[in-house]
Amino acid sequence: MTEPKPNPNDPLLIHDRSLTAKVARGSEAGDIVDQQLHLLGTQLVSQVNVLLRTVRSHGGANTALDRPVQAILTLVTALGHDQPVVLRVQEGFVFLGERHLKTTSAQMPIFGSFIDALAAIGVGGISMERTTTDAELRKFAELFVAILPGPAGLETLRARLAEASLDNISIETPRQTRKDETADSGIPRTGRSGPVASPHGQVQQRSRGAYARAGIALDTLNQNARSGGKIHFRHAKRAIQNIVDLLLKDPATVLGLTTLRSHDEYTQNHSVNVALLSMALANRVGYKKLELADVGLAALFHDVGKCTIPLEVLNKPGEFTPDEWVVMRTHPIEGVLALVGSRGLGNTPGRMAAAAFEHHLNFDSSGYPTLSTPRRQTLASRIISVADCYDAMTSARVYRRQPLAPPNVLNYMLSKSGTLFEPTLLKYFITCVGIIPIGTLVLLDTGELATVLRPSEDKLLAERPAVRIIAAADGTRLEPAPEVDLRDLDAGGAYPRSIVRLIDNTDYHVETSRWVSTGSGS
Amino acid sequence: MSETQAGPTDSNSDRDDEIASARLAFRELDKAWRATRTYGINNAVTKRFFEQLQTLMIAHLDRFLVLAVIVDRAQLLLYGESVYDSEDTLGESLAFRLYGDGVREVRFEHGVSPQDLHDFLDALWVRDDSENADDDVVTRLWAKDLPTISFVTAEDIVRAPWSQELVPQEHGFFATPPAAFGGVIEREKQLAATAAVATGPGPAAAGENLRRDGPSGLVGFEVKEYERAMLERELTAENGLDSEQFVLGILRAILSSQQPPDVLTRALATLPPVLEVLLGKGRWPALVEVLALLETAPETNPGFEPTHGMLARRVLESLNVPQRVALLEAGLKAAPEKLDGLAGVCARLTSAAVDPLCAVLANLTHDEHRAALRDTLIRLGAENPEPVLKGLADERPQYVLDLMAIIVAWQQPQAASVLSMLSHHADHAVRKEALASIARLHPKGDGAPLLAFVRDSVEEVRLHALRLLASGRYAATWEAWAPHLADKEALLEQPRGENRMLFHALRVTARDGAIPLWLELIESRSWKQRQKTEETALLAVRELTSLGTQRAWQALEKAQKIAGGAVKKAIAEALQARPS
Repeated sequence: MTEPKPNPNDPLLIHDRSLTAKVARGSEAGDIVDQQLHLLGTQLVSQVNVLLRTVRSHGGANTALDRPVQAILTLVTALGHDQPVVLRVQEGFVFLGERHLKTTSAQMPIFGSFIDALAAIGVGGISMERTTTDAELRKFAELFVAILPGPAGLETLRARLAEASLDNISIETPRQTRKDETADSGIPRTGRSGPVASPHGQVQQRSRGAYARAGIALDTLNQNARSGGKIHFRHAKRAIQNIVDLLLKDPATVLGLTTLRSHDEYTQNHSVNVALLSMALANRVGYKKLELADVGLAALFHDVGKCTIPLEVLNKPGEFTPDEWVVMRTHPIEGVLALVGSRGLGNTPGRMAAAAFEHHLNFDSSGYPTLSTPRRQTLASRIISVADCYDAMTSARVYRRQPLAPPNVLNYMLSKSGTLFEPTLLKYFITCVGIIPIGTLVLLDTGELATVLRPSEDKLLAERPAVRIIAAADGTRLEPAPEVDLRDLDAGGAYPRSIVRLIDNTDYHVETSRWVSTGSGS
Repeated sequence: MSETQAGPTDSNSDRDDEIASARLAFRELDKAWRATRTYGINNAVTKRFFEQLQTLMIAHLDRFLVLAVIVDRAQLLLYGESVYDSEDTLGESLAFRLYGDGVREVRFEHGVSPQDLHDFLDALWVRDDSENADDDVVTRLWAKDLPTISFVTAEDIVRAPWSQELVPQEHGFFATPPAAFGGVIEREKQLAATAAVATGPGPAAAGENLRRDGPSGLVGFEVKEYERAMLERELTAENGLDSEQFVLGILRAILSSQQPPDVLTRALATLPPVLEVLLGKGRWPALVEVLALLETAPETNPGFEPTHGMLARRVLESLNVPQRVALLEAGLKAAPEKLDGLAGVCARLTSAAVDPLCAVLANLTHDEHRAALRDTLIRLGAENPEPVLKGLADERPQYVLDLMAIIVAWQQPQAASVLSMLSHHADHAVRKEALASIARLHPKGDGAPLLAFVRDSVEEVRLHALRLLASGRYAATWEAWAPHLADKEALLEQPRGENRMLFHALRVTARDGAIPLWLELIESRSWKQRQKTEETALLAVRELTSLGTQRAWQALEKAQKIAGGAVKKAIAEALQARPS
């Protein structure tokens, strides 16, 4: 049987073949998604639009539907490798999953039609499983176009989809937006780095979003680098720029996120944490806003060289063998080669190359890679080294190593001041994370158990940070856990609560991030 | 006056005023944007639009403090009313530029400066829609760090379920926290009671020595002024870092220090594109450093295996391939005055680069650039002269002059015959220089290469050629001369002085071979140009007399029988004065 001759004017078939070829070559799904996500997302919007319009004019049985239906099924199969494919319309913008789909003027009529179709019946998104069938798509389209415009459309459609037992296609309610920060709320966001109406909660929520986006961008980049694809930074840049804004508003909240410890995503969490800690430290040192973003991006990708290390070594449970260490120790060099190889000399940021190459060199020029001529780390690399060590030592990696409590890590690092680490930077770092670092578990003189939320803003009262009390003196877990500033005086002018002991949370296998980042232990 | 764009206004009339004022401001913003794109920022029209924009924007912000609009496809909305709606295509719409990249709101605040407005438009103008681009409108606007203009993206305001992905660790080392902490608290209380008191700085001391009114744990951690100043200096230096130079430094460190074969192989593989970047940007010193490293690393780095040496050589040789040599031109134009290191680059080119080097030389106008390439071609071209010689057929005078200089420097006399082809070049300066070059290369002997210039359209060139031929250092047969003297009418038209020189050169180089021409001139009759014919015949008599050979006298004797008038008389006088 001969393959039908491709029509060069048929973009969908071209992408389909391209995807098939990629799959045949064994490329990772992430590579496929990243390289073609925008293109395929746009195609999906276009084909869904065609489907709805065709059903509206010809009904669900017409052969004119064959093409868009097949196209959608191909796209959903390609895109939804481990989760449903969701097209969302939020505030007039189209998203593929969580990713905004950029639009060109040529594509806008299609996007506009799609946006209007969903908005008319109040649908926020269409979710399609990879297992969606031809018949389900046709039925869905029929039901969709039969809904009359109006606020009841969403619920009516949802009920009809349930009646028709369309298990693989669902619709979403429009997502909420943070309009309390926006121009249509009456309290517009003041922009770049100004205060927001209710800083702490909003910064925390936005920080978590930015943290997650940075992680996703990093993940995409790592997958690209691993499969030899182009390394590009736009999504990571956006995430880092967001974090810089938030850091300048509320550094403690952003730093609190670094206590998140998800061993499943160690590399990703670690790199994002290093970026946050590096930016916080660089901020103390005096880096300006744009320079902070540079440092953040460099820190985020400091381990990019690990993309060349075989996954069986990188994810190996247990200790590395000497040979595996040799391989692991190539990652600073591999990082630079990956960056220069992918982006070329002219597009490789200096700070990023420095961070990739120098983050395991030490202040005294020891460390690795071993060089014939001793090399002094750049300031940014020294900053990233401090952040890297702190986060790595306070993190638990599955099966590999026991983490240390933050105060113990700081003590270790101080013992290496002047050898592994630049003494001045260590001083700045301590003022940054606090003499009793964020996430430290502490015993109060009231017998209560607490975890440190923010360093004290008064350096003369450094031992009086803001804490969250997680257990009463009798050991009862408090839910929600109240936040207390240990600098607050009682009516008699005395401190009602003081820290009497720093607790090594690893002794009890207690992860404190749940209280630092959410305020809730559940 | 309202505090914010969306805040309650005193009346509908205030709101209407605000909307009307915003419309005017955005109309001017649109004009300024278009003018910037069409004419550039420094154009008088653009400046006028900017002034109008500034006036209107300042007036609006003076009254309403803030101008914050929602971006909706191709329009900007204030209180749900359109205050900007492009009449042109979507691609021309300022609003769509914002929308397309996901900007949901823009906000201008009191105190906005012309520079802020300009930077804002600049961020919108530069656009790379490719998915691989590192920047878009959002990242560029952020990087502008505008103090009075801010924006919110669609992604910013969506309540995405990120927190689900950031769940604390529930298994592995950190288990789910216990339902109660009584045991932890009791144990820690006991430990606190028995723990030794830690001393010194650091968290341990901070933790174990915690006293309600004791000294701060941060004592000893204050950053001193000199430490702060030192870091500031380092930061300044880091900000001034040349990224390319820095990355090259790392690559050098890898190639000179690392020994794992696959690392070296991959490091070497990064270099060909590096060469192209450095060539294209004219970064000659950096390029020389890379080339020098490739030359020395096989000797100095024990990790280099023969295959690495071969790879290094290949990279070095790749400097000569046409597309890389062609980048020299881009590099020279990118940094016309920075020639340090160029000689080092040229010194590493081989004769394989001659052809593309000639192509580069043909396009250069800067004297120093041409001199550098000429010197290189003088060195390399002797081994591979063909491209240089072929280049002489080019029409561009400067290029041909450069090639002649190269050829002369080779000092190959046989090149004279090739240079004689330049007698056909359209530019007389080229012909003149070709003649001079021939004389330098070929100061005596066969005069044939010079003959090509004796009928040149420019007198200066003709006379120069004749003077050279008349110098006595050259010989030329009548057969060589004949094609240049075939047009007898032209001879008659020529000034007498020039004919005198021509005949003189002819006599000196062709000797007896020229006798038939002179006889012909003496015997010729022309009723139209009787005087000129006679003058020419007299010159011929004079040359035959000066020739003074047996054949010359015989020719005069023969001519005496045919000639008449002044010519006959002159022949008679010549024969009479013939030495016995």
